[in-house]
Amino acid sequence: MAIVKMEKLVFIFKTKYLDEVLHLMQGFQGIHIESNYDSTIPPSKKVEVDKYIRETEKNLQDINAAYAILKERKSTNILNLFKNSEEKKLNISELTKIVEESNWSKILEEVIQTDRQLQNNRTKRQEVTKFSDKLKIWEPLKCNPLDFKRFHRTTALFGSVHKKHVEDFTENIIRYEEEGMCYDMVTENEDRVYFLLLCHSSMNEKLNTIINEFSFSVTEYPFDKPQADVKHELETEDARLIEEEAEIGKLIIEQSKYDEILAFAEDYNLNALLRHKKSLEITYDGDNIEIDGWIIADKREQFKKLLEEHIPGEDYRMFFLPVKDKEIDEVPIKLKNNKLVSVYENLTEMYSLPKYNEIDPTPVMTIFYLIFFGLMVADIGYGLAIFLIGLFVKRFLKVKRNVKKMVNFLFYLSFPIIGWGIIFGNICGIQLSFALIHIPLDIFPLIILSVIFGFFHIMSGLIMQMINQVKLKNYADMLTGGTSWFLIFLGIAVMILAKMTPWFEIDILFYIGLAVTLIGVGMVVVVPAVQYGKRWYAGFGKGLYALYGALGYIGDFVSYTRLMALAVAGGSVAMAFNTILDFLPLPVKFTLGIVLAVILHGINILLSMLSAYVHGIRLEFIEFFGKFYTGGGKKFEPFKAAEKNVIISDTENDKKELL
Amino acid sequence: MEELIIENAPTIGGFFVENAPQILTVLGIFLAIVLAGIGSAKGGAMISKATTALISVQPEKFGQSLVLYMMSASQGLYGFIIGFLIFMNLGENLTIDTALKCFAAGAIMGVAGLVTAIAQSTAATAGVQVLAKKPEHFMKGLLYSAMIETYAIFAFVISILVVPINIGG
Repeated sequence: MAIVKMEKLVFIFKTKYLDEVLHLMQGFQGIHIESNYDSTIPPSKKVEVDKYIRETEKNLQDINAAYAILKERKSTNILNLFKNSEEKKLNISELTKIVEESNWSKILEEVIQTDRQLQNNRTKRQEVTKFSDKLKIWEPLKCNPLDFKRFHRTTALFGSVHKKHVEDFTENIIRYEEEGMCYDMVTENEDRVYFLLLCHSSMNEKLNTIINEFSFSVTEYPFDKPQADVKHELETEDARLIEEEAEIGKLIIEQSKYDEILAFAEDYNLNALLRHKKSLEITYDGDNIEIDGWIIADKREQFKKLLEEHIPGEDYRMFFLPVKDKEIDEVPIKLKNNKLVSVYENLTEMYSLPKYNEIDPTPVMTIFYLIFFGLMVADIGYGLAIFLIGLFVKRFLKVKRNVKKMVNFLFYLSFPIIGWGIIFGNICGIQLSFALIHIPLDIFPLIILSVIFGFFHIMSGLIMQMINQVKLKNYADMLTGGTSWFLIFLGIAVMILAKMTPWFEIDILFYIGLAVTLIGVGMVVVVPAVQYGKRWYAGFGKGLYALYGALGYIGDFVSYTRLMALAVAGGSVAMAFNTILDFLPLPVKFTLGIVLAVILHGINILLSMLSAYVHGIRLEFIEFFGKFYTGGGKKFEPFKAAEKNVIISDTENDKKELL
Repeated sequence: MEELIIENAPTIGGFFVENAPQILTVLGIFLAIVLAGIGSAKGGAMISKATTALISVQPEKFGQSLVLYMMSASQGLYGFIIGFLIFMNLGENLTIDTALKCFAAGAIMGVAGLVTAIAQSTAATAGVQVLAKKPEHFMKGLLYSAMIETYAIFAFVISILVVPINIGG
């Protein structure tokens, strides 16, 4: 429930252990290394590291190529969505062991080789089909076309004319039949008819005229063997290729199980790449290396033990130093919260992480975020839809980490949505009889409710401000800032309660409220005056100016009416959709109408959720964080494994298991 | 009201006076739906012009660009709700009082929706730059645009307070 405690780490060890130390750290995941960008790496070492980096990058390229091949082979169907895509969990030494024992580089070669064979096979089969197509027109010809060239006194021509000329063409040929010209209709395709023309050589000129007239196009025989032989050859080749393809298919099926090992190998190489790159950013001093960084204080002993197990004691020295005041800006920040709150940590991170001496606003922010989000969507039906989808994904689908996080984000929001839905008696825009607040009839109660929540929100912001000031020991600022405004609003709230509500109609309460308010106002003005001492009038002026801040607070309170506006917007749209659907005739209503209803309400869910998400964040960032929070902490980024396909498990990770 | 009606043959002026409540109410619907709709449509076009250019280079950002597009959509929706609530008042016994309220509600939402939708979309269009260059800070770009929506929401709040509600009650 707060910011994780850190200690400064100075770690000196012999250069020969560099890769092993970094490897251990990758498994340990608890050390933030401060990069030393003007590293003192010796030139010979740099050359070596650069070579490693190039090699690893080459490996990664090959792995990606093989991976792409394996992926392409898999049929893409909708069922893949429901497939187990959850990352495997291993610890770093297991991963290294698995990958080093498998000969993954051979597997890579195999996969790429097979792919090449498959491509080859495909090109060849295409060629065979192309030749078979060419052969087709020659097949019906009874004689051997190779003989044509051997004729002395006879001209033999094989070719085609367009279908529409066939009759005229044949008539023309028949005219010269007496003089030794003849034709044979061999075959035809969609628009051309193929002929074999024979004539005595002396008739060549006449033949040419006819040919030109009807644009008879001559086709040369493209093979050097008679048709039957060519056909036989092509058929055997085709059969062989089909057989080869089946063989390759078997290989492919066999290789599909390499999926996992390639994923592991990719992570293994990515990890190596991270280590090599890191070794360019640390301090070298002769035979020794110094790593400066930050370690999670709770994990110090664990790290000591880990090193004892792997590296001889005389080869390293380690120092753990507590955080000094002047180092507060440098300490990396890691938030630690319970299962529910940790889901919303990324909202805080989106604004800015807290400084090491600030308090983590996430828990309080989460409570209000859930309430506001629920109020803005407020529908039992919509909430149940989100709940059921979330539950389905959580129970039955094994999804990746980041998807899991998003699903959890929405899943927890479904509870307040249902809760507020019950208060509004609202189920998919239909009002139920037990509604405490009717949308959109009870606008005024809803506005008041929104502002009351805003009141609590702003008050907790002011309390947080006081806590922060106490932590920083700025007591005067605490009194003029947080405390005074807290008293002013508390007093005003008490006065309103005393005047407006039937239950607290006690005069004395009103005066107590008034007194509290005046004390608050007094503090805004008087404390700076006391602080300024002799120049009290300047402090007094400053105090008066500070009262002007009340305008800002009024704006803040008004801003909370958006809660009501978005609740009414979502509710009324749902209602309007229902009214429109109601106009449909009965048979349509229960067929197409249902589909239409699902689509329309789906759109409304999306729109309401988007508005609630964005405006919830706005209320937190501007109205709430604005009261107390500065942030500006940098994120704790431990030196760790790439974790692209594999989650490197460690005790910490297991505890943080989200589902 | 009765005294105002001209007894003679119907004139155009007479028609307007006679049907003033109906005309005002319909005008209210018209303003709410049409003006807010124009704002959202114009804004949406601005945003999509920018996002389409982005998608042509980085098509994987389509989902996020849709979220940006949605920024322009809410005013049209608010206009639709107000228009719908006004519509529910149309009927036989429409008083001039109700009609004036309907007209005011429609005018508030329509004009505010028109202007804020375009302003908000200008901000969202700038947010496309963030999406293109620093997608990890995309939400920050989105937030600026969402701030401007505050004024559309205020208009909506007042508008819904003004419009007489005549649903299921």
